[in-house]
Amino acid sequence: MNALQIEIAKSLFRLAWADGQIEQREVDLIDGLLTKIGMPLAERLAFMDEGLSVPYQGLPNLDAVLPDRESRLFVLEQLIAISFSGGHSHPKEMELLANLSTHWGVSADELAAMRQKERA
Amino acid sequence: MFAGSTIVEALDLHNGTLVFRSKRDFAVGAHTSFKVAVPSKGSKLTSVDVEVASKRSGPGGTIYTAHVLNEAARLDFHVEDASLREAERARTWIRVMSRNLPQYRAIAVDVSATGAQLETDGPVDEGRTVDLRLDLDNYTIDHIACSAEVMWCRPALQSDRFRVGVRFAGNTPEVSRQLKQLSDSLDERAHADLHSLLDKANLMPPAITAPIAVESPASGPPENPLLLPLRAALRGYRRGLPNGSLRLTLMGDDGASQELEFVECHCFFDASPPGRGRIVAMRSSRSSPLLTSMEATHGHHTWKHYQLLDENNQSLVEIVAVSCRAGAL
Repeated sequence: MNALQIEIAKSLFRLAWADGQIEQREVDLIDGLLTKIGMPLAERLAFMDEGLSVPYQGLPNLDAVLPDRESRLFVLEQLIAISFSGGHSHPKEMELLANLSTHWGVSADELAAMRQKERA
Repeated sequence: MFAGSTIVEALDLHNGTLVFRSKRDFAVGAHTSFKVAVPSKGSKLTSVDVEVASKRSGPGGTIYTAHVLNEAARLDFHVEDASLREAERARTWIRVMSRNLPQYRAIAVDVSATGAQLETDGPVDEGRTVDLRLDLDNYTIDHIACSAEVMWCRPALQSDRFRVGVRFAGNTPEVSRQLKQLSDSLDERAHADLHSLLDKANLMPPAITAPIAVESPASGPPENPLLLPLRAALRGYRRGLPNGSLRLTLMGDDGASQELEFVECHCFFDASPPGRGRIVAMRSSRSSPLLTSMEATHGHHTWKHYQLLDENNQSLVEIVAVSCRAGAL
């Protein structure tokens, strides 16, 4: 498991726990995304077990492991997918997404495009 | 020159090779003749002409191997002689690896504190010193590396393999202690009833000496309903030291085997039917009837109750451990 995978996984759990609870659809989505970024089965299970046990409050250090804009947009896309997996996003999740988008200089248009892509 | 009136104690005769014991001294290479009691003939005395091939000292006299030169070579028998063993041996099946053995491997089918009987893919020279690694799945240590001297070798009955008797020699006191402990453990297994063995295997981590009273896995699921998707087949498990962990080997959909380690495992129950260990999810919780039952006996711990579930949401494996992490295969 490399640093990128760890930080992405942390950010996924941070978002999933933003509303104070975590649901099965979010678990399934996180699992799918961690699989997608190549996290091996045993590491995925162990990481998810830890992530589900205690609400993750830390701030993932995404800047260090996502140096380029393309990778940041990819992660943001995954976070949006999780946030909207139940059909709507919790205000806390929206707040976290907004802060991250602002921090990375992602425009409202780009966010809208991602949201549209996630809906499709 | 043949000494026709001599009677020796025959121990084994197979493929024209006789193993016998005598207090008389025979020189290697000497031709001699004596009478032996053949068990398959009602212990009738039979005359045997032999050429002595090897000799070594043993309990109750010198042990010889010899080539039979007359019609007695057609006989085939084996006499169990407990006095030849310095310690009681336990029937077992342990994988042995060694660069000194044919195909670099063997199966230990018989182990005592002082020696073992190996089944090998080919013959091994008597008198040779061999370095052995005894792989010990589901035991308190992963393996024992030891040295041994080959005492005898003969073709196995009803197979094209060989049986090799070795005596442990040249080992450190620590290795000797491990071998003794292994022998005791195998002996205990051989004499204990199946239920108590399963109870021990399922419930006993290396660090705990008292049995843990647990309810059956049907006592109820953990309260946390969240399932971690798994999609893998259970390929096996083993104990790990020094932290008393349990290591599950899982094969994912991509065919790759991975190890999931449950740290400080205090309870393990495997209900998966042989060959049907398909797992689709893992559930974990810090609160369950099983944990409540265990904490009633042992007080509060930071244990988690893990369940590996099949597609019908039935629990195949139950584990109580402190945490889980990726292991190294």
